[in-house]
Amino acid sequence: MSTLVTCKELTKTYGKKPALNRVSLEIESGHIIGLLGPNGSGKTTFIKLLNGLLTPTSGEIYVKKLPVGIESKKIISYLPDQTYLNMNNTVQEVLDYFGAFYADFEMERAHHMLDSLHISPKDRLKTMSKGTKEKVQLILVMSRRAELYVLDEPIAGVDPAARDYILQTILTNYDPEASILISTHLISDIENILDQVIFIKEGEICLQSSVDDIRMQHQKSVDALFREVFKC
Amino acid sequence: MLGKLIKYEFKHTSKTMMTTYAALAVATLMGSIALTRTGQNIDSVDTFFDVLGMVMLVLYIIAIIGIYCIDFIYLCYHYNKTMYSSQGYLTHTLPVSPTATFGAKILVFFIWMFISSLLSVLSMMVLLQVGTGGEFFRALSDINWGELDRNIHDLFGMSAGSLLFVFFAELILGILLYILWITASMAIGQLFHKNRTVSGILAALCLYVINQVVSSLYLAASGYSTATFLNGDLSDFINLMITGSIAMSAVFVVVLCVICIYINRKKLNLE
Repeated sequence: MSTLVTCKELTKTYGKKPALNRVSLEIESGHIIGLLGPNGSGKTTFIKLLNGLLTPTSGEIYVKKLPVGIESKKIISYLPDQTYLNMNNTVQEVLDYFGAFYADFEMERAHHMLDSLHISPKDRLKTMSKGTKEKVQLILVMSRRAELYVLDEPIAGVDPAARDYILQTILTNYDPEASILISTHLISDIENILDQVIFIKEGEICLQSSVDDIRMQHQKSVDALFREVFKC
Repeated sequence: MLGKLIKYEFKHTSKTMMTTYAALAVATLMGSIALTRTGQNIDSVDTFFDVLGMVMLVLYIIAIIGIYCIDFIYLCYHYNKTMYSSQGYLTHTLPVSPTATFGAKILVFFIWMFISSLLSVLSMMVLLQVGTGGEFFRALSDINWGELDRNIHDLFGMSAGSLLFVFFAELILGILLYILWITASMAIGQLFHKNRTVSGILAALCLYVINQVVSSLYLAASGYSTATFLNGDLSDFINLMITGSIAMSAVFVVVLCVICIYINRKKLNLE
């Protein structure tokens, strides 16, 4: 097991308001980690910093001991919390685009997942429902043999049946050597697949622990502890 | 990777650009028809077809300017959408350097605008050919190039070839300057937490003012004023203007490039 992500005193402010405040943490390979916190707690900001979409105000962030850059983007497969594809493209065109740029993209796996969901590669994204678009994006992300999958709110905008499919897709398509970082506030839906959790509150890490430790030490489920920690 | 970026950038913009070029072809055809109609009765504009022909000619002029503006606005919109809006999430998570991404986008933007410029000129030449009853290209072939070269040298202080080179340099730098002026403004605008569009527009205004002030300072530093222009040698003045304009444009192109690359590498802010 090796360290995938290292943050040192990572801070990001929007204007004068800190979105992340001196966050220091390490993420190791081979885990499914829940990045949990209420809306506006800094989850998406952390994920964007990890993917190079934001630059830190101060502090450092490393992926496999290297600063965020080309090398980190080669090994991180990122699912943002919004649609990021060109809606005029067909699914096949988007697959080709991913295949052209990501050396670890597996076209066969993507087609297999599309088949299982009855999504035609010839369909244009703009003709699809919101849920189907999200499934296509998830298929693209999970068709890579990445070392770290970063999924920002993958189940927030879909119905419960689709949530089950998404979680199943995540579980059956990732390499056990890789890690998955899932950001969400829908704890009960994903609790069963997590083995580590990071609680983030007002831009600060307030807990990083394994799910087993939480259950043993607090005698509570992650969901129950979350409700207690983030009680309004 | 740069080759792939350029390939996909062309692919993603070609449909819209080809549509506008088709519209330009249609406008040229309509303009030619209009010119043929009005040309037949140049002395009496009293029939329905003559009036229609003149209206179509005016529409052609509006169309050719409009299409050029649409091309530029569409490419600006595409750049903003794929760099700083939702699609920027994909653009900036590709395993390529921010400089390569920026370079590919600017190169494709420039090539499309260069083609748009050439096609606009070609369209006007077609119209001139039609308007002169097929005499325009014949007149071009009848030109005494040696004499023209001498006349150009007398007037501008340079050969016809040099003038042509200067014209292309001005065209290339002019297109690049406008593209980078807009993209740098967008890059500056996205630095702000709120009101990014307004910030981008203000940045564009500031960059424009800086450009104008520096250009004026250059002219002043060169010792040229209205009086010296009126009393001095015209070719000297033209040479000074051309050299200054090219040098100034080149410097601004480099500065704006550096601004864009620096912000995209160090200050990307996809909130």
